[in-house]
Amino acid sequence: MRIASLLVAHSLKRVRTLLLITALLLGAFQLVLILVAGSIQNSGGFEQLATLLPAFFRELLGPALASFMSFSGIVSVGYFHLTVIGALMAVALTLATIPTAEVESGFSDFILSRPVARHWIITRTIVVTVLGCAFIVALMMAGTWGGLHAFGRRDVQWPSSRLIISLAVNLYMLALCWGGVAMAIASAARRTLITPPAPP
Amino acid sequence: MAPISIRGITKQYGNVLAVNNLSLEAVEGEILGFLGLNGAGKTTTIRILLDLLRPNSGQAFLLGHNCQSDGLRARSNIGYLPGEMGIYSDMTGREVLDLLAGLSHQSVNKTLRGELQERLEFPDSDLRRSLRQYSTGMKRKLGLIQAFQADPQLLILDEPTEGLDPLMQESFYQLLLDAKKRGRTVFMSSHVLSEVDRACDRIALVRKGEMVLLATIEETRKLAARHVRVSFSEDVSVTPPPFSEVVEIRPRLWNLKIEGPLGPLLRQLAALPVHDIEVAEPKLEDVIMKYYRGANQ
Repeated sequence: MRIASLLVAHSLKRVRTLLLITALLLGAFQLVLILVAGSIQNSGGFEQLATLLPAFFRELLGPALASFMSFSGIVSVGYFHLTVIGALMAVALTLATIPTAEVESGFSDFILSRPVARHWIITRTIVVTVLGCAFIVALMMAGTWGGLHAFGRRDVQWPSSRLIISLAVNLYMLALCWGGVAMAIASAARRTLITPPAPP
Repeated sequence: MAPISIRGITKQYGNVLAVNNLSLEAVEGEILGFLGLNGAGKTTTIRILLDLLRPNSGQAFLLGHNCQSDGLRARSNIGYLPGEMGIYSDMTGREVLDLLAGLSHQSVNKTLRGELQERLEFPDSDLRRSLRQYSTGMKRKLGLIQAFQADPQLLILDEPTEGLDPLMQESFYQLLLDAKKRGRTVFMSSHVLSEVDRACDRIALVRKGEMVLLATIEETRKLAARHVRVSFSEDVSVTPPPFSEVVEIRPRLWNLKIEGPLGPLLRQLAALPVHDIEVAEPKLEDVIMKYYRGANQ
């Protein structure tokens, strides 16, 4: 366990800037969405927005339209907006492909030349990916709760805790799934920088 | 128990045979030089020893433990310096040393680390800098410190003096000798023949993945032809003996290369008006180069 802790600590230390910046940006994005939703609510813009949509689209969305075109709906967008998903996927892929970077750079040779079992490299990567993505999603949720309490109007319906948690878990699982796929590919990577042996 | 025991390992990359039925045993407390041209299979052998590669056949043992089936114990008391220092450039020297020390089962001797720093002229201020500010030589020195810092039983060094200046090379040779005095075994690959001649007790020479020579430095040197220069006080018409290779011949001078004992030549010279004889000490380079060129199987 000491070796695992060392490897996890080392990797987290190396990606701390990436994690912190991404988490702060995505957390701030939740605040911005709350401010935008509040602003639209104040100007009574949700009804106008709904009328701007073509009739067939309104019919297509049905009751879901009301959910989207509301304060609660706009706040929830922060958990399935393309930018948010893209950013979190990028982090998940980066974390999950740490072994490839280490194999390519030769750092894995240094680690594995010690009495370190190979599986610790993958175990460490799983732990770092799980912790890293959880940290970002947690900060997003903190952004949502903080933003609602600081800037959210009290007279409108806020998204329920259950909804926010459900959306956050959904986003987290999506990130882990893609991280897992990337890790599977990365773990099968072969070192290409090594000089091939001379032909006989 | 041999610190290193390689028993008939073969490693194939596709159609390329990198190591072919290689067998080798290191003796405890010796410095064994591992020689070969680029692509001869040196690094592949070292990577098999460290279980970074799996052989197609054969077995390798470090300190009595099978490198593949008991790899953790096999690697528990070794120091390794790779040919390429693949370390993240944003890490500081101290972070590298602490991380690698933490991953070992051995406790790091802080006094020894300090002594190594002093001998390799690597002050604490350098350890606080990130690796992107290091020169090639500094990275090599850091690599040497991390390999030696736990005073392991076995040291595996891949091209250890690459990038070191002559003074640091001198310090490195002293480190090797001290390690040897403490009973440590050193297995080092090198291209620098003068270094091998100076530092190693034995050499193992591989060519195209096969072991072609395993001998002490003295035994190897004896395999070289000696340069013999004979000058005569008057012109001689006799031809040199057939077992010698003529480099230069003049009426009053023979310049020869002779393999084996000099007795037959001296017997022939006894009847001639010899003025002077010079016998140059055989050079290790001559033998190694001969093996490299494949002239002697």
